Amino acid sequence: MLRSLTLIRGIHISSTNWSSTKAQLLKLRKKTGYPFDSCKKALQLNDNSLEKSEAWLKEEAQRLGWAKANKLANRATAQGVIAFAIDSQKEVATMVEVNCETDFVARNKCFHSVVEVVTSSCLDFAKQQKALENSFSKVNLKSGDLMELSGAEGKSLADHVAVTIGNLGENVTLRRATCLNTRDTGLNIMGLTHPANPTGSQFLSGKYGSLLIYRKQLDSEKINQRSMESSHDEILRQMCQHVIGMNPKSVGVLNIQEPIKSQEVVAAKTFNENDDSSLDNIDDKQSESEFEEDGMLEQAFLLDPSITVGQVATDYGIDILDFVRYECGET
Amino acid sequence: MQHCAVQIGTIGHVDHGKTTLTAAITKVLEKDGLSKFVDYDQIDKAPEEKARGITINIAHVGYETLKRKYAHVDCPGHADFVKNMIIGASQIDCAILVVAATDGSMPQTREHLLLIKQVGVQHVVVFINKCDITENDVIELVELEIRELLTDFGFNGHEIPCIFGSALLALKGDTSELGEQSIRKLMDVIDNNIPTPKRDFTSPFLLPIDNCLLVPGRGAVVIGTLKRGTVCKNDKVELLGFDEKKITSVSDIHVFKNSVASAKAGENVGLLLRGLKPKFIRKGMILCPINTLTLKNRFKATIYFLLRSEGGRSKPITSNYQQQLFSHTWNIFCRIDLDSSVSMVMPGEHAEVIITLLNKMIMDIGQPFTIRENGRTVATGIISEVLSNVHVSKNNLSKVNAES
Repeated sequence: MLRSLTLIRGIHISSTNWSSTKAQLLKLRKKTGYPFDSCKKALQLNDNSLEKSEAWLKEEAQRLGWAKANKLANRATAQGVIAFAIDSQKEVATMVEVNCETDFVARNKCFHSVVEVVTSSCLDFAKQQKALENSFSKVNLKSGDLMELSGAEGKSLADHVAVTIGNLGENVTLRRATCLNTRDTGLNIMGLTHPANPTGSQFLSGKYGSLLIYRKQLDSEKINQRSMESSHDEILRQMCQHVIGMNPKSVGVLNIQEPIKSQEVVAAKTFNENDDSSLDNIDDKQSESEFEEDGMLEQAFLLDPSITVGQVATDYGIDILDFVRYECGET
Repeated sequence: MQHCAVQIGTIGHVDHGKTTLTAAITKVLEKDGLSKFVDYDQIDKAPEEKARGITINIAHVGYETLKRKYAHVDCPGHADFVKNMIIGASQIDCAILVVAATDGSMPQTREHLLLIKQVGVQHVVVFINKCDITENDVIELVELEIRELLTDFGFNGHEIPCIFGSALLALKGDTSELGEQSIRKLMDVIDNNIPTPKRDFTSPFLLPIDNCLLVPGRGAVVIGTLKRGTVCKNDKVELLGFDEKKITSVSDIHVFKNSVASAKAGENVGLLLRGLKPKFIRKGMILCPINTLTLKNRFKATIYFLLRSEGGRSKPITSNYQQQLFSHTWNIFCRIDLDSSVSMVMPGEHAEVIITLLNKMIMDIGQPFTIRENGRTVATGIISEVLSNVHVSKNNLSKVNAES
């Protein structure tokens, strides 16, 4: 049995030693990516026609996907990505968490495709929500809600996820999503994920994500010289980054005092902006809360710890109303 | 202290049988009396290991063929392999890519190969599993496809050994071609194709100094373990480190309290240096032949920032992070800058960074180090590249140009 394999090695596929079915099999597999066994069956049932086999395989993929999904349903999905999408008007946004079993799959473009489908569906859902009087709409979707949403090709997200499970052989779950709508409220949304998406796909994903709901003040007197240093968008991105890095629990209160932290920093030989003062009393939970400011506006700004986020907001004429922070795998 | 064990890592899709294969290898080699069988459950747990306070999911298995010793690792995730490389400061010499013939390569096989490249593994062997339940023509195509994929990733797809078998059959004690025999073939291929990591006796010698003594009436003696090469009496040498360079020569060599004419890599030695006062010698300095090494203050490194739960930071770092760097027996103030495309590194993440030292030192590629804040280890890493020096004016790292 294995002896025949040693003959094949080193021979090009175009050689006449290969039967036409084998060549078709490889072609079909290359084109569709479905398992060899499925491709073989497809060709057998469809008179060796590539076109008919492809169509058959697509349906089969849905069926096989559901079979696999049911089989793997109990497997833990501790890895995955956070993704977000914002419409061009910056008034509708969504942030989603999609999980899988390994961080190999989390980096894979087949997985990213389904994340894109989910994000797109959630954005559509967000567009349909109406902002409330004097406020914006914020809807949190859970796994069950998400699975029922409809996605590309008129299929439910559950169907899309099943096909992906079939392709990757890993359990994939839709954990949660947050949908924002600020239409007609004068508010806008900015978003960011971390790390910067390395795959270069159409949307942004990472292990962490944040969305910021803000109002841009048009009163030019409030905007002082500092606004010349960075563009508004850049500052908003940095604020999103701050939310990810510093993990505030709430928006907090605007006050223009020195950040409490800089007074508490242990006098080091050289003042180090990057020092993590929470390490000073790492075993003492009590003093931790003294150091960690929970309100975003009171926190030292991540990219310039000599001032508070509130100060940056004031300098750039930005009112922060709310934020969303997602960390992949958090409980 | 003979030759080191060859490091093997298994990689592949969750359900393709890499754990079964690992167990099967130990079972088959146990028959030769050199290894102990480790069963599936013990390996599968891939227990959380705490190495230097850092949690990694990894299974370590050791086995031996008649030719060599092997240290085998199996990790469930990309991050686990990278962490193991950073913390273990050890290279996987050979990766066994496990692909089940029933499925063929999966979409994520690309990510498996990317990892192999990222951690610098030179040799790959493919084990095509579950051949007992797959038809021949499919097996052929699976092999062809994998070879093409390997070529896509810069490996020599034609030359890479592919072994066909069934790990499950082997584990059950089946002695047929696809059972135990396939495991033996696999180990033979690894025995014969993967070179043994050797101690380097021929490069210019390198001695990192662990300690220094003053022997009354004779002079300063430096103590350490020779990292590579051979040192002989009367060799002209340089003492390098902390911006200092001193030229001297070796007047005596002691190994295990005996005076010897020469010593080689791996030996712990005391070297008596001619005409050098101990006050010029510090732990962390390097001794080497003259004009072989240059003092450097800038390096590229792969670094992992510990999670809060591992005793590390709670907040991310941004560029221009200045802290104490600890390596071997010495420490020095350093500055860490991130790649221009990266704005911050969160605790629990690893990254490629640029390290600038306050003083010029000798650091080797692969040399491990840690970063400590207030005495606590917040990061661990290894040097990946030596860069050109930068000017550090008035002991102020803040003014160093991060871009150069």
